Amino acid sequence: MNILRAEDLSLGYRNKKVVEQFCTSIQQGSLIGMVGPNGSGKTTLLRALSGLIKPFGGQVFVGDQNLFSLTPRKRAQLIGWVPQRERLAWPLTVREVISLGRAPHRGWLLPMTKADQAVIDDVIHYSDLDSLEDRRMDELSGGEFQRVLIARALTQEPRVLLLDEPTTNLDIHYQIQVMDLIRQLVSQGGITVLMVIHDLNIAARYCDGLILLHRGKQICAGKPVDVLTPENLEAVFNVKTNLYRDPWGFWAVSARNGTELNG
Amino acid sequence: MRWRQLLRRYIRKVSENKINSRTALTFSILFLVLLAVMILSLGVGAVQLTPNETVSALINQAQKNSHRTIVWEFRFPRILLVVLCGAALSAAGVGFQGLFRNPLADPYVVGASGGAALGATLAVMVRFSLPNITIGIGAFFGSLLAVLVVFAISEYSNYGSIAGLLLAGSAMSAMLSAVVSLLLLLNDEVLHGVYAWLLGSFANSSWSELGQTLWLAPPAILCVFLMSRSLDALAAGEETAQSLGLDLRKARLIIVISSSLATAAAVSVSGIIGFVGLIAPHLARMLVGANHKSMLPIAMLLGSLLMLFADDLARTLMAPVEIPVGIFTALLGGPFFLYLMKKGEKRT
Repeated sequence: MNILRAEDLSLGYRNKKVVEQFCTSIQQGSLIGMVGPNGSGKTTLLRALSGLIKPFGGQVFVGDQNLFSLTPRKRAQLIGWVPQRERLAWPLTVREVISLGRAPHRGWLLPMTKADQAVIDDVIHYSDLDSLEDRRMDELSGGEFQRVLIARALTQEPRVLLLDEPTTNLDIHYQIQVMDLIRQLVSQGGITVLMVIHDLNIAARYCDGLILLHRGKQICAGKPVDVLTPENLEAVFNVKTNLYRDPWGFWAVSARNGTELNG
Repeated sequence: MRWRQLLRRYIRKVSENKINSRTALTFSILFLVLLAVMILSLGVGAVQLTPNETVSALINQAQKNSHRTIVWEFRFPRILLVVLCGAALSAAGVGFQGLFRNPLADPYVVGASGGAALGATLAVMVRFSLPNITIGIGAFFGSLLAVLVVFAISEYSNYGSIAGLLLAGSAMSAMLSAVVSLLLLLNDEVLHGVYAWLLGSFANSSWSELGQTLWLAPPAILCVFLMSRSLDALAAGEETAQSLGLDLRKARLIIVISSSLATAAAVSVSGIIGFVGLIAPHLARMLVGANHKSMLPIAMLLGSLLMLFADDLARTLMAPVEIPVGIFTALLGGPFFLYLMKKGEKRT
């Protein structure tokens, strides 16, 4: 079943168009990555899907509901958004930040119910944050911080999770930890994930499908092996690449400068 | 009895962990301290009363009739007003800090107090005959307008939002106080009374002024309190708040209106009293954390206490001459403000 469908989506800021005529259709329970050079419109797309910016034109459907005609609260029940980084004005505790994810369901006035607390407890446990529950956010490491942000989005119990470069600013240990958590969410939780990802190795290894963007247009989409071909990557990034299986059997990409080779 | 039931329910909620026990403990202690300080303050003045005498005067069993008059007619309304204004300014401070996402915001810094003063002055000049509530309404519109302008400018300023807020706020305050001074010069018959009021003073407090504030402050404070979860979400950033389904425009509007109203409620009876709304939220965050539902009531109690101390000093230090209370809060708050700026500088 298609859970997320975009039709002729055009996006931008003020009078500058960033994304043109974007169409896609994402299967429920898949982990889809968006790759492309800086400024190709990936983050803009993600922001539009999470309702932070209005499109110039086009439609987005979540299930059978038109995303842009939903109220902010209704939208937040369907779609969770995890920003690349977040600067808290005051150091709330881990649990306080995570419980904000119940706001779309409980509203902004009513106190949390037992059911809400149960969801929060479950998510905290699932994300392996039990021991950090009462810590202040400014005492966390980068990986812990990222896990809290993901946990908050999970507390929304969304059908689609949007992640903006979840592994940037993390060392390799936390990159793997965060990606394993996301992979687990998709395979076991049945949630659908669309994420912007810069690291092509992570994209190749973890994603079920990839969308390659260049200058606001979709170049191609499909399985990682079909998208991350040397031809595609040279056209978009101007680099020479190899796509190969590493000794563990994971797909991996290595690259070298494209122009140097020509010269 | 009703209060016993309430107390029992409160204790049950704490024990069920619905209210954070640390917050509950801090709240209870501060509340008792505030009550004690209120009773002590009632005894302080030209005629000194012991706490015993104060309490017996309060429950209408004073040995001397004059005690009853002193406590009921002069000191009690004043002290209630001081407590209410301290709480209102703190709630406004919490609202403004959350709105601007800035620890240096406070009704005085963002220009709300200046705007309220101008609005109130205009109301006093235009209509002497209308009831007192006009002053409050004038103050409200003055502070709302001033904050909206400062907010718009700081949001789009090239200095970044923190520096932008301080610059826009201080320019706005300077401008507003210049206009107030000019108005007062042109109408020198009201000059004297208004000037003392502008420096911040509870010298003319009476039951009627308390009544005037009671209309405005509690609803405004309640509104800020109802925005607790929105303020928590705003702490995580505007985009995050929106992605969580917050109607940003509406939430901001409610916060700005209720904070301005709280400011106006205080300024219209006590003049410009700076920095209480800056210090109290900070201390509250240190004590119980940043969660607004917990820290707002604590900040209000702390604001009341702070204001009560300042007013006691103002009344007694040079008695029988009264020093404007705003002078004390500024003497205390100015250095605190500078300390926060220094601390913020280190962090970034």
